[in-house]
Amino acid sequence: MWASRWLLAGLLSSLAITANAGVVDQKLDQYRAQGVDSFNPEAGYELWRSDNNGRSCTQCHGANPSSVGKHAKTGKAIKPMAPSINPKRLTDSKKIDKWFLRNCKWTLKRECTAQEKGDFLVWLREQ
Amino acid sequence: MVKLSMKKVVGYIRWGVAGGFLVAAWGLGLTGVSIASGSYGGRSDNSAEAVLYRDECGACHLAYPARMLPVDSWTEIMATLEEHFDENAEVSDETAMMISAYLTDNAGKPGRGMLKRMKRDAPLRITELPYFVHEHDDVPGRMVSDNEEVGSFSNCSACHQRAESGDFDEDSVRIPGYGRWDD
Repeated sequence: MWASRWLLAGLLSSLAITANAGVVDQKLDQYRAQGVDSFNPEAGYELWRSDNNGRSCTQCHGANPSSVGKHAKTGKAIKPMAPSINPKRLTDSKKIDKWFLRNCKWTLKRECTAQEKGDFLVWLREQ
Repeated sequence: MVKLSMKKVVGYIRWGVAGGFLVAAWGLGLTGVSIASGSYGGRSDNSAEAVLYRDECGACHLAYPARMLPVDSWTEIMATLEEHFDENAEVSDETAMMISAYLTDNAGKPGRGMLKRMKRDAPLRITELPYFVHEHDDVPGRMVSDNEEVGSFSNCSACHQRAESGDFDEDSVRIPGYGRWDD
């Protein structure tokens, strides 16, 4: 009985992992459809640590995506961005879109391009 | 041995079932009352709108109880999310509609509760309410703005330990680095 429960749990979690991989791949397909040829994780990392007139991702998330961040203004804790530490990351397409929109507009004062978003995702999913 | 006629047995069962329904209805009523009288009041705390409000707004800051601002303030806030106190906090139209519905339903009434003594137009910051200012005017800056773990009066939960559940009672105040608050 217990063995079969564990088996089921294992099966479900492996399904969940497959689903996660699916969300990022789905986003990448979407960006390809917008004309992006290939994605570069190094460019994604550069975007993460870039300073944009005093604003950066790391200001709130911290330099290390595996660590807990802190909202620069409100002080609220932000859960780690790295999916290896926080498996909920990159599992919800709507959330990915929402935070790209808000955070690119705040940090870069413009929306991110499909290339930038793809680069960022291929970098972050390995973290 | 007591002999029971079939008619009587059916009668007892009927009473039993009816009684059961009554108890169930009473229980449901109590649950309803406790939800309705929850910290946010009005549209229940477990409604899809309330959950969305807490998830979306609570991602960056305490999901301030709707009763702490009047309808006019919430309407203005929801209309200007792209420039939300110098942050971009925009949400989809659908999300905004649901959150607005929740906030409007549960907004405070000017002149009552925390909106006592509200003279000017609806403020956008809870910290500007006369009631709020009055309640906090004896808290020195070194405990708040100069306190790295607090930062500002808008960071309720830094000191109000039960703020997340809508409880701002003075008894549950612990100021980081200073401890219990007693005035």
